[in-house]
Amino acid sequence: MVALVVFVSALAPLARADAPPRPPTVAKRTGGRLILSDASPAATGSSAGAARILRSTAPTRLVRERALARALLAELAAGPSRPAALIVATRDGAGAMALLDVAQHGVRLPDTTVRIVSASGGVLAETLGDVVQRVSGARAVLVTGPEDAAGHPPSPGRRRLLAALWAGAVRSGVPLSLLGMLLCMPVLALVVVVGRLAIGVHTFGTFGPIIIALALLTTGLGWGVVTFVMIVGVGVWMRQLLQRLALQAVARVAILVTLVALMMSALVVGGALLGVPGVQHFGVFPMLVMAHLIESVSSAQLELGLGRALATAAGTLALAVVCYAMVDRLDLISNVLVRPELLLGSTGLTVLLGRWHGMRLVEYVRFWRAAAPPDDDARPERLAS
Amino acid sequence: MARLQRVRRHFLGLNRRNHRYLARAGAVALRLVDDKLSTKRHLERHGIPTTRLLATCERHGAITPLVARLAETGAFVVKPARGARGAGVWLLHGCGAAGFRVPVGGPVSAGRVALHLADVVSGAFSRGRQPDTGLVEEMIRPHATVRRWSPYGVADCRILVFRGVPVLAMMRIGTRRSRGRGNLHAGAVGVGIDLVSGQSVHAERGGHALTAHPDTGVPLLGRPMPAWRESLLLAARAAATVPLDLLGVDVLVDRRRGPLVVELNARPGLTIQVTNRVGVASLLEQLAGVPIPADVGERVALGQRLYSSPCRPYS
Repeated sequence: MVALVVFVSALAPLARADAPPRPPTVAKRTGGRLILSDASPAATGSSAGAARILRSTAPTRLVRERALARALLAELAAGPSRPAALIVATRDGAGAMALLDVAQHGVRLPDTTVRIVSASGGVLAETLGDVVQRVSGARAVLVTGPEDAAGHPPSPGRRRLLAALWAGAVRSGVPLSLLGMLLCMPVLALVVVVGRLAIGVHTFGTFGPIIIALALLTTGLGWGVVTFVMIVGVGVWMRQLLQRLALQAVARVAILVTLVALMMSALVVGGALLGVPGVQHFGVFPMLVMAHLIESVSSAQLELGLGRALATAAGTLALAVVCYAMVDRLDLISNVLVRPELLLGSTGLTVLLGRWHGMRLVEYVRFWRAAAPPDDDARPERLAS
Repeated sequence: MARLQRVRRHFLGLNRRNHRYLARAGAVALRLVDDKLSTKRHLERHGIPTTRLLATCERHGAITPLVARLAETGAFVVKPARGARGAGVWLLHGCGAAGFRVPVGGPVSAGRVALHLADVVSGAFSRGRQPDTGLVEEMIRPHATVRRWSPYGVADCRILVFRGVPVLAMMRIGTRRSRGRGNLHAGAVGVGIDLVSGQSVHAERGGHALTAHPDTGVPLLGRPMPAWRESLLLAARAAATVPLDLLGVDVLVDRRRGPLVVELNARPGLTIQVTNRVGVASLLEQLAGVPIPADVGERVALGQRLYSSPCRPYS
């Protein structure tokens, strides 16, 4: 039990994954096992044996992947030795993708055997394993399935071409998880279409919930929702005050943008100083997405009134959370990369829904009372004049 | 279960409205109807009485002199030409010492009115946020019945017309919450009008049935509409001048000039079915299959016959 357990969570300030660190220049000893894990220490602690464990238990899949990638980079740059065995034991694609994120920065593992532990086996582990084999430069890559504890070389079958394509992208420095996020968008668009056309949810455009969902993925659900609510709150609250300044609509939005920028800076810096986990890694993209929201809120309020603006904001957030949950729970980021036919399916369903004439769910509620037979309805009595 | 079926079969939903009636509309016709200024010119060309236009405003430079002129005008309405759902519509009841009088709340300064016009011209209310034209229209003097109903603003009558045949009608009555505007989204009361008798049959606001005006307590049901037949004839005539199948025609009854068309709407709201307790989908299906008479009076009679026919959903 000399295992040096490195707790990796967003709590620990770590080297940012953005800046490619130089590969270790000093010739290092090779030895020991390194485990990428997403389970809590209680679940694996005793069985780990003499291994170093890089761990992230962050609830969001993408946050987990980034934390693992950061930790792995730091470990390879500063650790006492190069691991002889690297065991990727995460419940979804987070571990394998973290490994690819590291490879994208030019880090190779020539003396390491990579073992990808997959609880269910299947296409995802095989294909990602194949990509890892092509880009990591590892001595060997093995996929361990439920009925194959010893492991076997990845066999992506017909997806070999796809794996070669993604491997090429990684080798040229394309961040694969960002690519996955981009390719998720058509599937999320389908979710929004279902929400709007089949249920009747009001949202800020079709694209609104999608980009907010992607922002939630990088910030984590909790902080994302807090930021969203804060921005809608500022939009609604400040309108009253700004009305007294008698500004034109364009200038009003500019003032709101200023307020949002200040507020988000305060959130990031204040959160980091107070040691709130996660806020310091917000990044530019989710900030821009959230700040962009203020214009929609402001013009919706002007155009539709406070009630409808709030309902639209709530609808947008609700659909964004559904999208977030889909990407996160189903690991859509890895899945669309491995199964691009999902896009064909979602496009087909979108076309079908777009041609659908039926009632939206909320319209049943809306017309329910009006469809009552006159007899069994408490119809207000006609007042005599 | 039967009610679920009834909703599905007889009521028109947004998906079906957009597919059947909006997607087939020509772009030219939509542009005509979506711009209130071009609608007004079009209606005048066809000899259909509309509310008088006092001024238009397309440039920021024209705003200040316009507001100075308006201070002497009396009551008027400011509208964005390409606005939707009543956004940016201001009702101003003349100018006093403290400023312009508005239906709800204290007087509004001339500077505030100018600022609003500047917002309108910059396109804060227009579709796609494109620069827009501000319209200033006369405030009409409503008939006594309507005046009693709607103390905050002028209540207009939305008449749903399909292929030139009036199908359903609803009064939209401004409230304190809607700031006098007649838009149901903003909190106005919708009152269903019997197409045959012109009597108010049912009133709703925000999903609740009402019998009286929520602010004043004036009873809203069982009242006859002024100049009902003339209003229907006018709506049928106005709709026939535009190459769109489904149209919402907004009609106001002026005390002296009689019924006037205020505007046309190519995307009529569907709440009119709730305030009338009548689903319109099956009515439109029936109308799609019959020859439409050329005579306006016969078209109105056809609409009234359909409205009262026993095969109507509820009925």
